[in-house]
Amino acid sequence: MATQTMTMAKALNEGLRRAMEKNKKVLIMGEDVGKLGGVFRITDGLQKDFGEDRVIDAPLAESAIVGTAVGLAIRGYRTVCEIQFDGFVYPAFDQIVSQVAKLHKRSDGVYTMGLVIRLPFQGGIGAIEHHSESPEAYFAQTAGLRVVACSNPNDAFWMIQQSIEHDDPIIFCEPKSRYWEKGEVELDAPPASLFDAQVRREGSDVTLIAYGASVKTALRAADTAAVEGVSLEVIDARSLAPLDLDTMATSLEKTGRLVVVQEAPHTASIGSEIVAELSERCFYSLAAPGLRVSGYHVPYPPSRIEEDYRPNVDRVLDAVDRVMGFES
Amino acid sequence: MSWASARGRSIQSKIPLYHRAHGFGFPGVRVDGNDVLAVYEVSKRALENARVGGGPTLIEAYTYRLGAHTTSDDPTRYRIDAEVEVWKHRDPIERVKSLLVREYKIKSKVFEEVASEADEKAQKLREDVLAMDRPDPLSMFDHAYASEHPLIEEGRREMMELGVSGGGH
Repeated sequence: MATQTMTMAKALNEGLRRAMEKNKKVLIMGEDVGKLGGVFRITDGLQKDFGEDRVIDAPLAESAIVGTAVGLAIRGYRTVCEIQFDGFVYPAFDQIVSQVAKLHKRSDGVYTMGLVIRLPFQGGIGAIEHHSESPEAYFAQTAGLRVVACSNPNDAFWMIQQSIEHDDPIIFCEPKSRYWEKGEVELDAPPASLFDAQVRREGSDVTLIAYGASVKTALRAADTAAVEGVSLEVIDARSLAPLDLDTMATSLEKTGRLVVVQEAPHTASIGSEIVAELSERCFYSLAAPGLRVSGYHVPYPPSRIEEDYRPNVDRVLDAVDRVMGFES
Repeated sequence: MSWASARGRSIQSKIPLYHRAHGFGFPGVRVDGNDVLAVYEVSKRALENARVGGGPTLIEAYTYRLGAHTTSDDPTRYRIDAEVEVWKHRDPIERVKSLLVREYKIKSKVFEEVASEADEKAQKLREDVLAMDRPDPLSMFDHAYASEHPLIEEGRREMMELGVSGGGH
């Protein structure tokens, strides 16, 4: 099968290109997505090749970008909305939770909200405020929305296409700190369905569940733990709403110990949901309470201290030690 | 034509921005944003009006971003050099300078002094910023709330237990 090495940014670009070639109703809309190709160059060259009617430069008005996509969705278009940075999504919050999430229900299934809202999320790029947030839980809590997060180029390439083809609205989270990391992209077939979690590394002592940028952190923690003789199984959640609890529970029944890694603060987070659901499902297999390694309950800090906020290998291993050392 | 990030004003608003004030029931004024005295005059009148209870004024100071939006921005991808050149000639500092020379016969030595003082200040600012200590990571917990909060206490305690070092480089 054909594979190609590329960055996550390029993989998203290629995925969008393929979706646009396949379906003429696929549009892209966002701030600076046309001529500039987006601030992260994810849409680079697409306006040149597909024209200004399909790759649309929007004013700096996120509620208008999403609101317009709602109308287009009613008429059968598939709009991929680019929100330039996570912290800019809030002006569109009302459109997303009041219209995008509910129109299918409100219309008794007549209108389909097939649209994708791309959200470069999480931190780690040394940016100023509004540019490093993890708002995924707001959307995961809203009925009618689905939330996914890619963590590598292959998933980025396939998940963006699967999201565009899906009939429900998708909040598509992209770990911006991983945009420039390269990986193999399988060009012929997707690695999994959009809402499947994937085991990234097999292990037997502790199940580490992560998503987005934190997957790599979890894998690095597993490398370090292996040296010390502790075997970590790493699961990439991929879909945050709904969660693939079957894959997670299968792992936890084997290991009995759970640590979730995420950049968002832990209160009412994706990690909280994972720990709660798995405690319910795997109660008799658990050797220790599930732990969350998260960002702190503060506004995202200045860039010079952001690495003290983001979960790092040390903090993950500290949690691993705690679940390994737990005695009931 | 001004620029927000990469898209010009024509795409941001179909009408001049100062017209928008009328919808809110107060006056809007457009002023040449590169004319220091005009901006001063318009601002002064708007402030006087506000201070005597006359309500707000929207001032659209029409200008142009000559530089890049950020250090990672590449304006050559979305605007033409000729336009930038036109706006370079409208540099507000140069315009005030020629006014002072022509109308007030200010000597070039004064401008040289001002320029070198400005350069010194800018240089010092850059040096001071680069020499700044890394903030204490524990400072991220300050001022998130005005009063005590259990999650703030928990985070602070966790960070201290991890032995995160504060301050310094």
